[in-house]
Amino acid sequence: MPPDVSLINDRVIIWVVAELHLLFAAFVLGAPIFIVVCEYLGLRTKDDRYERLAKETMKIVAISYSLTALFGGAMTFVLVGRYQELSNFLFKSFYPVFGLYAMLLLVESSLMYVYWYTWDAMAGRKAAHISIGIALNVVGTVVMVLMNGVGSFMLTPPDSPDTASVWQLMNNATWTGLNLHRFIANISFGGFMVALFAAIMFLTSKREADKAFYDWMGYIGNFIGVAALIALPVAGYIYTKEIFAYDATISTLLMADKLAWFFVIQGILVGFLLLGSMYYMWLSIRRIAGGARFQSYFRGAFWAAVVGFAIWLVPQNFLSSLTARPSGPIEAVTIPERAIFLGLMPAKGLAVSIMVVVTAFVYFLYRQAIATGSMVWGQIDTKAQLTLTFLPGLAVFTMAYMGPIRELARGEWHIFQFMPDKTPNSFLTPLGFTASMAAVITLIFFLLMSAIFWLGFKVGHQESAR
Amino acid sequence: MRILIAVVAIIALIWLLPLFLSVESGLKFGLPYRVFFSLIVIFVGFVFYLLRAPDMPSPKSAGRAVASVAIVFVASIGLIVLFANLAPQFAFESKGSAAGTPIESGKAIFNDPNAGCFLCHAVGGAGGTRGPDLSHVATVASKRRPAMSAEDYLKESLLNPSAYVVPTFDNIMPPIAQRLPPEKLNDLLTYLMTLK
Repeated sequence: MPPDVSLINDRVIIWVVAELHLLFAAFVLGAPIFIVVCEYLGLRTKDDRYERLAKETMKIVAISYSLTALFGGAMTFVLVGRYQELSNFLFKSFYPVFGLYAMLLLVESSLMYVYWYTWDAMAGRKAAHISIGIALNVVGTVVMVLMNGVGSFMLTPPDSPDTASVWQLMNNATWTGLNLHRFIANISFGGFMVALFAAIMFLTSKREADKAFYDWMGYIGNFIGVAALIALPVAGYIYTKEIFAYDATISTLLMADKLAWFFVIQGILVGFLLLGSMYYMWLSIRRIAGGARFQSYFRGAFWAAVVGFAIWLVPQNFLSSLTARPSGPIEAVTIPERAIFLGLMPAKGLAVSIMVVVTAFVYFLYRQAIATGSMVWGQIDTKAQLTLTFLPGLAVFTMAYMGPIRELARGEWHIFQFMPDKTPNSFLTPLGFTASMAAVITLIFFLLMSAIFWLGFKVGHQESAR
Repeated sequence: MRILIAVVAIIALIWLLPLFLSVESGLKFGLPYRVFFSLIVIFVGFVFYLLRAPDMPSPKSAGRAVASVAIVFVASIGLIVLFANLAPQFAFESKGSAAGTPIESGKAIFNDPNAGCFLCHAVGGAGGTRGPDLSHVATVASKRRPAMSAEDYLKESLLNPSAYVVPTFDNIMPPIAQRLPPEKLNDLLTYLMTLK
């Protein structure tokens, strides 16, 4: 923090509140997709576990809705109170969008309550109940798409935003990319969060039947989380390509200048997510009868993945910006001439592709092993359950870390090249401070989630036991 | 044990090899790279250790289970935050008022990626080479177009770069300055006029 700025300031407050709103919103959007899929699978396969999984997860989602709204309201208060020029412009320009947003939020909340409270009453009419769940997801996705229009507009507004139509403001250069990226990320996040609940319940359960169920629940959560995670880098690539096409100077700031090292850390985070999901599958395959024959392929896949990971991380230099100059010789902190290719985008792209393809390959092998062998649920290495807690922790941290990068990409603008940010606490935050803030937000999120989890799972279980 | 030996051997190679390489070889990595690569090797070793590690027993109580989850969280995210704090950092920088005087403000605009000047033009040896070196542009500009003052010439170059292209350079400069508010354009001009 600059010496003349207090630690608790407008910037930090809006940062924390907005991120928490986004994290809870991502959960209440991602988890219902997961829940409806599980409910449908329960109906189709007649496997009661899917039904139980869907219902237990929905309990958590129902409580999380109120916290999403709470942080959304708090964010609006801070925006209106402390960022009046920006909020005035946004509310005025997007007035019909915000009107529709409010209306749809009402519809979404109503559908959520109907979906949750009719679960038992509509047990005999599953198809109708699933239809309510699908409607909930469709409305939720439209709500997200509307707000993505406002968020993406701030980074890539059309020409003359003050005279552009609402549709031109919404349909800006990165709306599609952001929609795609957030939609897939929410599914992955929902899956990993379900895996987290399952892992904690597995680790704290005493009954074998419960352990077997939560082991299976974690497997399904990871299954959905990884499936979406594999597609995520492609969506991220489309999104950044849109940013690049809009204005190459933003990409320079992101990839070659002040934020370049932010992306080294992001590479570590995504690499850890991919390797972590592979490691869970490695541990899981060991308890499948006949699974051992796949392990040599797994080992090869890990080799390919770590090589890709290492290449992905090689930085172009150890400088904080393009114009920074080291105290010693510059050769010591820049990549040597014959290894420059390792720091360039073609090598990075290839490395990421290797990691994604290898994860998809492991995922395919894992499915093959399950299809050809029998799984013994409830008997799995504790490390696998700890991995299932590591993945959502990392996913939340990654989301809390990527948010400020998108904000910092606008440089000194509230709305890029249109409305400058002249507020007193408008400063570019260095990497260490940004990562520390992401860690604090992650901690707050999980503390709140623990309370929800305790209410939904533990108290709920005691009630049903009575 | 085999993994540990392999890790130590590769790290030794990372640190010893540069002693036998010259800068001209184009493969002599500096100290930060050697530390960075060593950390990656330790991480890779840890991954392969985990693949071989024996099964971990179930926690004996719910308290221990929650504690083990908390340790995984704190250790993984804590290490990433630590690394982020050790990586190269720029100083906190005000976005709204980059500088007090017009010259400082102009310099900040020149070095701001949103304007992008330094990507093609160098000042004092720092910057790109696709455009002319601007280290002494105020002096050079006064001689470039006989009928124009240095200030008028620079203003024209910023707003309409194609009006005059310095021989041996391509006509590639976009009219970026057109997007700058008038006061910022003046600041940039003031800064350029100090480069004598």
